[in-house]
Amino acid sequence: MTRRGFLVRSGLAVAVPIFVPAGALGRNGIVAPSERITLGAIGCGNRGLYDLGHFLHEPDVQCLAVCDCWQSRRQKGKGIVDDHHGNSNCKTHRFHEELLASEEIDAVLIATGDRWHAVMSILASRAGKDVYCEKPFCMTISEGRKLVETTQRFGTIWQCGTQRRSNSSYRFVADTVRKGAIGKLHTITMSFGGWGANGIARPEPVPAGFDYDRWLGQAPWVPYSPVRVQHWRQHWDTGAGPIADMGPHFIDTAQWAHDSEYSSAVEYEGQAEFPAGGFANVPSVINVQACYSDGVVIRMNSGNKGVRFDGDQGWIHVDDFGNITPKSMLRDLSVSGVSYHYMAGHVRNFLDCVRSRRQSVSGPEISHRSHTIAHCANLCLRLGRKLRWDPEGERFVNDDDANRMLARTMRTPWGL
Amino acid sequence: MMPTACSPGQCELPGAYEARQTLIMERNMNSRNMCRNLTVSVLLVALVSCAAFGESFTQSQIKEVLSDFGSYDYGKDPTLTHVIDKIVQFIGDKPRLRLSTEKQMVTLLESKVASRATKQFVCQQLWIIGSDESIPVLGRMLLDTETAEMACYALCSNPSSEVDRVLRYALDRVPDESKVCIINVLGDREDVASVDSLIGLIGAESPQVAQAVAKALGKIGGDKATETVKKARPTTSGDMRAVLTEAYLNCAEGYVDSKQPGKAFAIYTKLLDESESVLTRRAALVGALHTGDTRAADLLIATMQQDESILRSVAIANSAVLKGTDVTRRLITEFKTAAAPTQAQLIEALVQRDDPLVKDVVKAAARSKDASVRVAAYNALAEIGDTSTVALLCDALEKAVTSTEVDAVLSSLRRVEGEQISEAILDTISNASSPADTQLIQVISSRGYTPAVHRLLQLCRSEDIPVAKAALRAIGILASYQTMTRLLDVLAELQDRAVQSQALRATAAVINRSDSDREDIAQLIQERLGSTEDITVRCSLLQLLSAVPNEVSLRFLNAASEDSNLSVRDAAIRTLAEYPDPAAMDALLRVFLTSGNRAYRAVALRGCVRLLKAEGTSPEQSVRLYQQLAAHASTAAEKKLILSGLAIVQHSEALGIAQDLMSEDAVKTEAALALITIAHNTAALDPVRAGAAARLILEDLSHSTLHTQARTVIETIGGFVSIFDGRSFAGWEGNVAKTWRVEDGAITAGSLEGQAPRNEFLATTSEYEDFDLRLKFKITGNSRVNAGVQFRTERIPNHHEVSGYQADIGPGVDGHLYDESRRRRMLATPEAETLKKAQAAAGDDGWQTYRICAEGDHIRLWLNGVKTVDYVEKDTNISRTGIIALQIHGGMQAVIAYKDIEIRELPAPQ
Repeated sequence: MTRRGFLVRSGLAVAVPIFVPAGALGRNGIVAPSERITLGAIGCGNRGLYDLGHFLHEPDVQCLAVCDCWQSRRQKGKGIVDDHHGNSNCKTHRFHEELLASEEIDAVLIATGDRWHAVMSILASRAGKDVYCEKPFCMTISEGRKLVETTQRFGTIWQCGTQRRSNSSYRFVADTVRKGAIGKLHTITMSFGGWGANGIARPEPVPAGFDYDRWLGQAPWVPYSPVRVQHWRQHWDTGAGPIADMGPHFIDTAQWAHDSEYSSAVEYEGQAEFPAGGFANVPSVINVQACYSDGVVIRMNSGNKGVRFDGDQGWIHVDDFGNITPKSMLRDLSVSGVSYHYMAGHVRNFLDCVRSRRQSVSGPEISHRSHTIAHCANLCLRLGRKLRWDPEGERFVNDDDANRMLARTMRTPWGL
Repeated sequence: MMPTACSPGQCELPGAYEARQTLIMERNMNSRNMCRNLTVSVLLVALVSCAAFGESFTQSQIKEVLSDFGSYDYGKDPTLTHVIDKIVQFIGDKPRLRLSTEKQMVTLLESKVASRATKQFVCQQLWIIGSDESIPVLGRMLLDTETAEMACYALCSNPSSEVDRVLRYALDRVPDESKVCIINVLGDREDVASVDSLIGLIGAESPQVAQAVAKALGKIGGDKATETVKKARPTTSGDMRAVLTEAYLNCAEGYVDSKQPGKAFAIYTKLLDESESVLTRRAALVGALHTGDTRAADLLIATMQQDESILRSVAIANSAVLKGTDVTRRLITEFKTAAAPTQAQLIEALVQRDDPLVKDVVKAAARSKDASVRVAAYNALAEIGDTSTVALLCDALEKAVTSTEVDAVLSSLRRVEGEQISEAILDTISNASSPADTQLIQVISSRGYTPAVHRLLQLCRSEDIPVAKAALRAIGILASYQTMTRLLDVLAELQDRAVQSQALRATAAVINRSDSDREDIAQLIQERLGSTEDITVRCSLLQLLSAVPNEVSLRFLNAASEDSNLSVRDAAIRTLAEYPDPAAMDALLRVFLTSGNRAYRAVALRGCVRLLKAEGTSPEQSVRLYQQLAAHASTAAEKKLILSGLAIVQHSEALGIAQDLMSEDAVKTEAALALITIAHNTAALDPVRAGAAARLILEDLSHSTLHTQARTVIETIGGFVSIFDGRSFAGWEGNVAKTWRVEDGAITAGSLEGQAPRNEFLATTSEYEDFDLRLKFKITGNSRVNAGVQFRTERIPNHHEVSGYQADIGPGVDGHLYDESRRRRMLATPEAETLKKAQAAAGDDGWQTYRICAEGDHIRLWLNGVKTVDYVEKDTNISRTGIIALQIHGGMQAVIAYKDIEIRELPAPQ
């Protein structure tokens, strides 16, 4: 993967807005602007249905189809959609290709396992669909770059499910740091929570109504096991690990506050504990120190979820629920600092962008850059050594092993 | 449970996968039925246990690990895979160890007996560390469909050119099934030498192979590949066509990368043909504009003249990539004849060009007949505006009709940078008419232009009330201590009440910002108070005193609170009520206790309570003052106000005040609420009185929220302690090596795959006699479910069983009291109706609760909050103390989890 995107090449790192009337993409301009945005939902598990609920809550959304490799889940998804629209029109698909081939669909929601996010996002963009995709959106840095290039090429809107971008508390914290209210920023500390161990993945017959082959996707073939299917996040084959799981949220806030959304940290060093004995092979406890080129340090650990910024004149912390400390930071400012409903604003922003054709608040490039930090940290832990990253060339400096891990081969027939 | 018949679910799998799945299942079953041949040596156990701490390995240790790994398979203990992960880390910077390890890995890959799982895992390591050493064996593995994919995984990132050779060799010799992966890797490696072979496969019958070839050719690029893609495209449709189109676009990108923009541009031009889909044309347009080819500018302009609005928009949005004033000129020419929507888009694009030519165009656009063009122009002026455009914007503000336009102008005026801009805006104010004036004053204040204060001080005397008020608001934001004298002059001059109060707020705001000069300001205000007879002015000045609290200010207020003039008295009392210093308390108390005026009493009382709520008063002082206030409160409203403050006093004496007020019906609820809040806050300080208060609530009132709170207080006092930390087995003992584990914060045992071999118990290391125990449990799976919670139990020496009471869990025994290994019978069986109720009360998340209360001979069980057993032990020989232990029953094929285990030890009953 040596090809660089034209925007990077031409020095336009920031996505250029493209003014195209909504609904025109991939449909040869058939749509009236007042029409609802038609949605297809891929992935009807817990998170998928949670996201879908928020989409359906928006009055200008019409969900036309759902897709899942579990028969029962796609049926459940259809039930929710049909109940909402008061009809029985929602189509169900086992294969996302069918859903993406539907000319009626403007936008897709992708809330599958990690390994599918980039593959499906890219396929959807190629089909001219706009995409709301859960995080982590890529398994490797090369997947991330490819997604950025594809959305740029086809001018599709793509939003990462990093809904804290649309949360007033997180916005407040980022603004506060940017304005210099804590003085000169020197350290960012983020905690992702600890991950446990689990049992041994013993092979079992594939249950009825489950397309295991689809479920696996790009991951190397291994026999079905309930432990694997339940705990897929905890294996590098199927998930991107704890840093890439919560990192996209908190790293995104860090990039935002540090005003480096189009770059990444350049040095990574750390240790991890890996759970012994069980199926899991991603770290359970992590401790990584990354460093930006200006010397600002990012510390990542497994404490209670949240992110804290330390400057030479103060600090500010926001937890997973949007609670801000210290309270003195909130004085005279119009932010409640208490928990708030994350999703609505984020989904709304995506839908507005589908209409205005401007790239969303969690667009491809900035999401790719924050995911890059997570993946660099991952590779630093997997290789057990300090890594140096060149955010311009998007390669590790003097580490061939790490550079090999920028991409990996996908199982047939999947590929980018 | 052997997978013999083809169930519907399995039929969803492609045949090959199903066959492989079944094969592995069978092999796994066999290996499990045999005595599991775990050759993990003591050495390895030691290695694993230190796996977390960056250990080191010798060559012979590595050899032993890898040789043991030969017997690994799916479903076996994966410990060795974790060790190998560590080995790969360790050998990273040790070339000799890398090579010897790789050789060991090669041996495993060549082994006839090593499982697929072993080889697959090894390939995943070679992805990271593989060198030339492993290429020959991987090359052979490519030829076997069973191992081709894992070999691709190992080879894909290996930089050796030998990799490309073995891939090409295999490509010509493997069936379609293996080709796709090999082609993908060749494509990702951009292997030019494979183009000839790939070209031969572009027409492959298998669509998967053909599409993979197309993709690979696109990634590799070059004349040959491009020519093939170009030729293949017209004859295809559907997916293949889409893949070829993208490949063609990629070929073009390849030409740009290799500095042949002309060739790239030719491809894009071809894809811009009207016969192509809009999606393709858009992508081609974006690509073409970014080629750097000299014809790109012509294309940009030509596209703008096209009918297709999407392409026009795309062209405009990407126009910034074409630099130079010549392009700017051409865009401006287009602008002049373009339709309104295009003009609006063009303005945004033009502004990005950073070209001085653009300004005049934007200025003209600000006078466009079309509102969307005007709005775009206003937004643009925020970026490129100067003093000469201020008048234009101010003019636009007056003429604007829609709120969108007004907002755009105001936002632009706020954002244009430069001090002169602020001055220019300020200049406009005198000339414009009223509505715009107030808006412009707001703009000035949000620009933070402090030199405007002088002018604002004139404007605040305007007869136009909105303007005067806006000016005062701005003064409040911009002015500093230096303007205080003049502000006080203004305050003395103003006639309109609304303007006066705005002036007062502005003055207070300025004082609040002038921390260091507060004493000077105090003196200033006090001097004026001493010299002014005008009642209105006196009142205003008195009100300002709360912003400058000191002894003198308080003396003024005290005196004024008894002034003969009603207005002055009123102002003083109200100011005292808002006075920030507790020193005002005496004065307020005096007013409250002595004034006959009900309104004054209310104001004074509110002030007292506010001061008491603020920090700085000790709980003892607070209690004393509240006693005094309560004694003199006459109306219900007053009492409610007192209770609202009393509730947060952290002193148990406060309970008495609230309790007294509970006897009055009019304030009974408020008093109870205060009482329970105080009890909650003082539970730790004085548990006896807090408990008594909580019990009083339970007895005296029938308010469900208050009852809940009261029970919480009683529980807090009761002192439940957690005996499981959610992470470790600290305080517990049992077979934690095999049976018990901590998962997701719960003590967990059992699996869905196999039966529990025998009864196992995880027991507390402490014994408990009389207690109230609460815990949650959850069962996943439904095969032979049986578990339970032992209490007053003992372990049977040298045996896995225990003996004692058990709160049973399982179908048919839920909520029962059983005597385990002792009398071996149910001691108490709940009614069917009760059980049904208990089961219905279970949470939706699968977690159920047990409460076990053992007091003397009295034993009670609650399942999901429903009492199922109320039992009295008649046999005095039965032990009344013992461990608590969690059970998994032998034969159970399900998962049992316990968590949130809390206990409150009870004093022995009298």
